[in-house]
Amino acid sequence: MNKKSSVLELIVFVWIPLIPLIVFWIVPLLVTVWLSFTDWDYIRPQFDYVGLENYVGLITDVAFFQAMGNTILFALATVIPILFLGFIFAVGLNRLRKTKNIVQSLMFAPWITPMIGMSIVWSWMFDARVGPINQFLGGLGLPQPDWLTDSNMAIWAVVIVTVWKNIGWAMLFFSDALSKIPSALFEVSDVEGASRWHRVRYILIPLVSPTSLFLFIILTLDSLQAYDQINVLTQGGPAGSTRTLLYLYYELAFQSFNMGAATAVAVLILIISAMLALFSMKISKKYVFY
Amino acid sequence: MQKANQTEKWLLFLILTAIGIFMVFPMVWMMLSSLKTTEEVLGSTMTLLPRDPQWGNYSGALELAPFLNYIWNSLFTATTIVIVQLFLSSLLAYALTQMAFRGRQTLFTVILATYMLPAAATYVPSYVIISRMDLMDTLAGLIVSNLVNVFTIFLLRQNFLKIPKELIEAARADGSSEWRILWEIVVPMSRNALINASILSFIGNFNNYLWPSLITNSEENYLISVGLNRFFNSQGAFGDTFPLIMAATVISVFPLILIYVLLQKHFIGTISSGSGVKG
Amino acid sequence: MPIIQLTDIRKSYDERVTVIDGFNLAIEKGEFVVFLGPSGCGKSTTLRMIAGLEPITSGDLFIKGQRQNDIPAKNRDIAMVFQSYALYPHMTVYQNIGFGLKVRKVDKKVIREKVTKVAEMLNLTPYLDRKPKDLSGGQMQRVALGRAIVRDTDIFLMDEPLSNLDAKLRTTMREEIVLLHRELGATTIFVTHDQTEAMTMGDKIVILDGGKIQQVGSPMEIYNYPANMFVASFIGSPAMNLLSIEQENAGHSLAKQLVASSASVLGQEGDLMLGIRPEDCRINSDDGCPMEITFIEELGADQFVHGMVAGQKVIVRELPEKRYAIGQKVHLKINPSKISWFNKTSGERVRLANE
Repeated sequence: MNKKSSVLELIVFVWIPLIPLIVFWIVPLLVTVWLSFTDWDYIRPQFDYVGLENYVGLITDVAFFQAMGNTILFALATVIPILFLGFIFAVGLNRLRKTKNIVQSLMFAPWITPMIGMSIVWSWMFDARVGPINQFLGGLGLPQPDWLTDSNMAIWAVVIVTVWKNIGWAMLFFSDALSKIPSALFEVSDVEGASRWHRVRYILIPLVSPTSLFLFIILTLDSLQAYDQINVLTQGGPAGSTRTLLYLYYELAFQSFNMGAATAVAVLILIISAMLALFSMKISKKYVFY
Repeated sequence: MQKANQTEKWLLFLILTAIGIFMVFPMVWMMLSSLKTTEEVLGSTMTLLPRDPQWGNYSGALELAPFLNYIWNSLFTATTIVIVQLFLSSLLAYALTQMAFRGRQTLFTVILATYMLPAAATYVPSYVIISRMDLMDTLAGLIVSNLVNVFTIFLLRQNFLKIPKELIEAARADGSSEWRILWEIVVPMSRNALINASILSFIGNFNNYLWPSLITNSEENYLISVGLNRFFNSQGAFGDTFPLIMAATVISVFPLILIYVLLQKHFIGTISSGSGVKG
Repeated sequence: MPIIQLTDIRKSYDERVTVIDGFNLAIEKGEFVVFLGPSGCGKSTTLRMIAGLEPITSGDLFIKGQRQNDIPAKNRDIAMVFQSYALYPHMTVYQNIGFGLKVRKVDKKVIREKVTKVAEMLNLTPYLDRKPKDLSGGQMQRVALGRAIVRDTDIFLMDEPLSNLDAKLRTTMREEIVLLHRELGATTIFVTHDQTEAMTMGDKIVILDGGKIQQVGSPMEIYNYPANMFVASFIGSPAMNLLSIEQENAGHSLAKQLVASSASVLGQEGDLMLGIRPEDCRINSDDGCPMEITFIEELGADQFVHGMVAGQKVIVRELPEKRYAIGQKVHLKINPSKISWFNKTSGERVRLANE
């Protein structure tokens, strides 16, 4: 039984470590919410309270809805393939024995690289004229899109880079979860006549569902915060087609210095994150098996 | 698990290796391009290998911007941050698992909640706080503002929960202080978790871009990603210095790849041992 | 025709390590066959080869007259029960039992019928909606059995299914399994390392050691006429007494003292081992071989008296009423018709004229 802690112990073990958390997370968070109700522009020290004006302004702004749509599209277009491909690759990888480590290392390598650096490389790879991707597509006789300059394609370029970077991460988690399934379960399903498809659908997927949920949450939260690759590849364009809510926030706060609107966007992102968390809890009851 | 027959295995191996190669292709291309001349890179025909490796591109890049300085900045800040984070997170994780106090559960929930928050939402006020503390444009400012790592707290907490209660109780019965118990018993037993947490945190901080770009504006304080992006932007897209840009990118990517190759087991191990999937 | 036939089955890994060699066995329809042996003897591996979970290196496996070596497990029409039960942790008891049928696209109504019937048979009806983690060991075991039964196959393979249960439950389940076997008229192969289980359950016991069959026979055959010293000491608790009889010196006289007419055997070349079970020994005050009592086990219904005879250990089963003391000097008499002679070097049984 833990004995009740002394004041000194609480200070050392709890309050001191909490200082950075309070100073750089909790306080800024509260300030952000508060700022969203003002019209501060950072340059002048004075500002006024404007109530919900910032929020109303956002809701009536086309750019905001575009950003919202981009954010949702980006989230779905990255999280789903990452989960799907990560799972498939993990299943495939699980059947290898001697070569497993090498392939695993190759697949995980993108995750440790700096996003800025690799986005610079990708920005050239996506170059419509001289980039290797279009050269390769052209060689196969396939259409060569203007990846970064066509407002319909740009978001997909960003998606590809993001998926590329994160598949290995998801795959490792799935690989670990798969390895924890007792082999007797596969054997008995074999004897019972299950085909490979049955095995995947009725055994593998349910038994890795805790991992799937965990990854879903983490990956979605990550996609909400994606910045580096957008900054390098498209800077939110062309025509705002890759501007996510977070990028919009960045532009409002550090380019337009419209702190009121920026913080309002931040609060909205916060609300979305919270809703996501709650939503995940709900579906975990139904679909996740522990 | 039913073993695939031979042909299946070979097919699988080939497919997965092909995918593996696709995954590292950008990095390989990056390295090859860094050794080419501008004409080779931008030319109409795609050549795979450089005709004549232009190692001079690297010194050229280093002349245009102090990349080694940037790397040092990244190394220094990442290492310091990781050390302090481990220290503070161990204290907190210990409190959350081995000490009793009112509001313990609430505290944990609050910490959990902060994980859900977009870091960007804190940048505007944090910016002001840093400048009020007179730490704007300093490495110290970067370090101080990055001391929280909720993931590390999670990992350590997960691990500390597994320490047998009897060990702690016996130490307490011996009159040992909580401080000693933490550093002499619990931490040594959690080596793996600590290593895993430091690796994750180190990578994140080494590669960090947005926040450092906001609060550092003199070249001497740039972290590697910031320095690289500034350089990239200053050169104009795909001008004559493209191979130099690639060389600079290689420089920025190289340290981590090196660490990755050397510590591979630990990286992969980061995922397997108690990654706290149950959340 | 036997329902299962194994001919010259051999299993080796990487062409270096051979774990099963020269395995020949015919199993008739409806038999309850037990594969018995110590850990690592190859019994589970052989079972898994029959199931199709392990490839057969060489030799032939025939089930119902068809060669099965290259047929995958799912098409062999057998049911298997695992030591760890291998229940699907995320499915209810109902779903666990019905999974094999679902996967073979059996109609839902039919599944419901069959599963309810099997659940009743095994007293699992109140647990149909529970998940494995909410079941006791015995209940999980029955679910594993139910899963096998519901498939209406003729052949059941069981890999040490009772090893994870406590002793009392094990005894109950032994009975249940044998009764089920009779009721269903199935052919069952049961793997265990527990010789009591083998003796009480099997029609036919196959004893394995080091990947080779040591003996095949009914429990009584194996008990009374063990084929070699391994079998002799493996079966029976306490183990059979094995006394070394050397050609020269005291050995022979020991045999002479113990057995009135042992001339034909003693004429054999080589050293011998005399095997006699504790219950076929008696303690006499004056007639027989001299013995000094070293230890007494009183078990209520039985009494086991340990002693030394000509420098060798012997255990005698005596009536519980008789009183003895440690250090007491007595005499040992044995029943000559129950002796098993073994060649000391090869371990093989020396067959007498009438065996």
